[in-house]
Parts: sequence; C-alpha cells; structure tokens
Amino acid sequence: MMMNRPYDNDWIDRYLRNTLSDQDEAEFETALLQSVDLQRAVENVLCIRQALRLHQRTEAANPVVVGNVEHVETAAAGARPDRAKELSGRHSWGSAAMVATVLLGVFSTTAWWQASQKVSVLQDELAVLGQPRTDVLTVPIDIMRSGGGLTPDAVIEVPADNSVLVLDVELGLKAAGEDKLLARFRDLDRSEMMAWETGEVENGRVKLVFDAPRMPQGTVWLELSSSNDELLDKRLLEFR
Amino acid sequence: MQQTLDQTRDWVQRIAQGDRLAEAELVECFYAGVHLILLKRTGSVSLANDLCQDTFMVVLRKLQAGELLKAGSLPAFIRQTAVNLAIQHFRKEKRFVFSADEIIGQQVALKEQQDKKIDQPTIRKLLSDALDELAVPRDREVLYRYYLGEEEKEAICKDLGLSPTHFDRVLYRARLRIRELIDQQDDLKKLLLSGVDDDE
Repeated sequence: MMMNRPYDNDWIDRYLRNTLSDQDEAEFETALLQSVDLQRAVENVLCIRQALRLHQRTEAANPVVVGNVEHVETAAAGARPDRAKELSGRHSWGSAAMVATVLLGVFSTTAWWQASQKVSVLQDELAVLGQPRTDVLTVPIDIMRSGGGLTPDAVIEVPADNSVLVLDVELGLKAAGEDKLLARFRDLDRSEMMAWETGEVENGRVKLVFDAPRMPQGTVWLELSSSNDELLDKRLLEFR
Repeated sequence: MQQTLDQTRDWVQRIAQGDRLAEAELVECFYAGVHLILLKRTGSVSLANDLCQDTFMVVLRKLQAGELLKAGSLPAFIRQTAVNLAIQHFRKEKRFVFSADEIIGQQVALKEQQDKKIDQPTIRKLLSDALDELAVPRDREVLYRYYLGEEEKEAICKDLGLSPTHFDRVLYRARLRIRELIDQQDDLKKLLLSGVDDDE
C-alpha cells in the first residue's frame, strides 16, 4: 500500500486540471491519502491558484494603478487556454502573481484540521448515523432581556439525537428589516463555532433549523448580522 | 504518516474488535488526505468537512462490521468511499433543495465572507505596499497563464521565449515561497483553501 510511483509537480498539475485518466486519478488520490508530502504539495498549488484568483477578483472589482500597469481582469478563474491566449498579450499579468503570493502572508484565521476534535465529533456522530429524525422541537427566542449580560436569553434542553431543533428567533428592529441574515455561534471567548446564512426573515422572526446532534453545548452567543456583516442582534443561549 | 501494511492490518483488526483508539488513529492518519480530495472535488471547505465526516462514518462502520477483507486495500477503500459520497451528494443536490435546512447554506455564506475579507482596504494597502517586492513581470505572467489560464507549458515558453528550465524555475520559486508562507502562518492555508472554487 505504499506509493509505488513518484508523483512530481507535473502529476499534481494534471490532477488539479482534471486531465488524469480515471485510473491515474484513483492511483494518485490513493497515494495522496498516504503521503503528507504529496498533500502539502497539492495544497501548495491550490493555494497559489487561489491566491492568484483572489487577487484577480479584487482587482476586477477595484482596478489599481501600479506603476504604469493597470491591473484589470486577467484570465477568468478556471479559464481555458483559448481564453488565456486571448489575454496573454496584456500587461495585466503584471504584478498580480507576486501580489497574490504576498497575499498568502497577510491573513490569519482559525486553526486547520484539528484532528483530535474531529475524531471526537466523528465518534459521536457515528453513534447516531442512520437514525431517522422523528421529533421536532421548536423553541421561541424572544427579544433579548438580559441586556448584554451573561444571563442566557434561553436555556435549551437539546432534544434527543434523532430530533430536529428549530429556534424561532424574534428579531430587533434592525434585523427585522433584513431579507436574510448571517448567523453565527460564538463561544464566550468570541471564537466562531459555526456560521451560516439564514432563511427568509418573516414577520420579524427568523427560523434556524438544526440537527440535534450538531448543536453546540454550553453557553454560546447567537449573532445575527446583515449581509454586509454588520452585527444587528445577538442572544446568549445555553444548550444543555 | 506513510503507513505500513502491518499498521493498516492492525487498525483493521482492532477496529473490528471495537477498539475506539484504533478508530481515532485511523481518522487522524487519513483525515487530511480525504479532506483534500473532497475539497478538490467540491470546492467548498464546509461541504468537504461534512463529506469527510460521512466518509469516516461509513468507513468505520464497514470496518467495525469486518467487511474489509484485504487490509492492504484500506487507502483505496477510503478514497473510493469519499469519491462515492461526493458523487452522491451532487446527484442529490440536483434533485432536492432543502430550503428549510439553513445549515446547508453556510458554505455559501462563509465563502462570501472570505471574499469580503479580501476586499478590506487594509489588506489592499498591504498588497499595494508589497508591490515593491515584485519580481520580473514575465515570471508572474507565467504563473497566471499556467495556473489560471491552464495553458500548456510548451505554449507559454514559446510565447514568452522562455526555456523550459526557466519555466520550471519560476514555478519552483513560487511553490517554495508559498510553502514558506504557509509554514510561517499556520492558519493561512485554511483561508486560501476555503475559497477554492475551481469550476473545472
């Protein structure tokens, strides 16, 4: 089961371009599972591509003049050779690649692949795999009364694993004026636990639907933001 | 983490005997690779996460039931399970829209958030400042045409009058630089890969 073929950069590029045969792709991916070095090499190329693309997107939205070169649209994401050739005469390739590379050094987000946590989650979820969802628990979360303190607005007894939990949240004036909201769960340290886009806001309320086994435990902030990510409302919830 | 056949056989046997530690070891060993395969196929970190968990649930159930007869085929089995689940997902997605399940929408929302972060003025300023460090423009053109334009190496070399050696060197340097940056900043990879959206 060891890799029996050396996979070089050419293989990686062909893999990411989807130009390997089915058999080669299967062999490559099987090798990928077993080699950290190969994984890092693939990730590297994905990062390069994404950095270039992000830069391209940014530049397309806001062209920037750098020296004598105006950066405008370069090859579209995933563009094909004919498109690339069409664009190849431009100077717009210019500084973008290096900028995109530097882009890689700028950002910071939460940790990646925390295996131990995932193992725990997987083991828990394994236990409930395949069971039908038979109950629905709807919990109304009305306007915040705790005024930002650490008294939970609602204490929710998380239902059994085979249940669906619906949080029916009454919104403040600002949030109620939105069509849709961005929702987040954060722990008390403000670390983001989960984020998603809600459904439609109706009659000043929004329903958030969860699979019970996926609910967070303990006390968490539910934050509701506008589509521009402006925080509009938040509730402190305790899940037991 | 290059596994030996003995190690794989050990996992397969222990998991069949109900050893939870062996399950954890197996997941830890293969998680990153499975996630990468699914990320490449789905273009979404959150979807890859979900499918990754599903993959291991299926794999562990099979192993618990002793259904994998050849321990040596474990990596291929894991890979095939992941691929099948990805295919199933997209088949289902064509048939159903779970409008009530808002969790499903989170992958889009998160991706949009990442894009917004990229547009922040501070970031743009940092990028502009970094332009001083630019390398030869022709080299950057090589990167764009090769990685985004997906042009062939030969065509780019011919167009730009480059030798294949020069071309390889440009790519090598870019890969090296990326590796250095990722090594310096643990969280960088997540940010970049969270926006993977190859439309191939």
